[in-house]
Amino acid sequence: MPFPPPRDTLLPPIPFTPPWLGRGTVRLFAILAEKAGVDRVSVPIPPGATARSVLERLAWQHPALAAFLPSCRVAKDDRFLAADDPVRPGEEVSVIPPVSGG
Amino acid sequence: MIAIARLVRAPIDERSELAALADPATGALASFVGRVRNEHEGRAVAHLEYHAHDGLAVAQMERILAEAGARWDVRGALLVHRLGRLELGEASVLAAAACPHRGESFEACRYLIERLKVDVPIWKHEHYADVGALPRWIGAE
Repeated sequence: MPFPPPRDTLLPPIPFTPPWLGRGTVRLFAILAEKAGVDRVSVPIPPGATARSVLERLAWQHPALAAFLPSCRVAKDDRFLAADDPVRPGEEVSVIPPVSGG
Repeated sequence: MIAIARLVRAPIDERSELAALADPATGALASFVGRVRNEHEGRAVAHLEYHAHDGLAVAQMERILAEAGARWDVRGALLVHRLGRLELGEASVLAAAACPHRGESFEACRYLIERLKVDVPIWKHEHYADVGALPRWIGAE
């Protein structure tokens, strides 16, 4: 497993986050959407979550994506986030694998 | 400065796109066209599909155009990328920079395309000529 368990909260180990602490939506693109079989997934977004912890939770919840996530970036509102930028319950973020336009 | 960032789903019309950068103060217009090549890493390519995160891609292209404008005396610049299915030889991307002089227009144009290839969320899904070869997402290994 390329990621250690998420450490984003005061909470016990993932993926057993109580649902009342909030969830968010993650949009998946390209290889990630192919591997997941969907282009949108719901993940727990507890208070204190960051772009990094969202990737960690995604890896736990969808092991098929885990190998690809270390090279991915997270974006929100048409802007890339830094690893420590906050993600709040109810928000939607996008996970961006290495690009190949041009 | 004129800055044009667009995603299109039809063939790129280079002439009409570049016409938008017409300005008598610019003695130089450098442009780059990326086209679909018939092979990749030794494999014969049949066609490509480009997919994007549209909103983020346009926002990133606008940032890159602004960065070029801050570094060189760019009076007009554009980045146009095509999405969807493209056949061999078709234009996938057009980058251009219009400046008073040629040196800076070449440099700015190069900057636009190099930055696009790193920081704009567009992905190439490559389909191969070999029967039975599965299409592959380029960039993610």
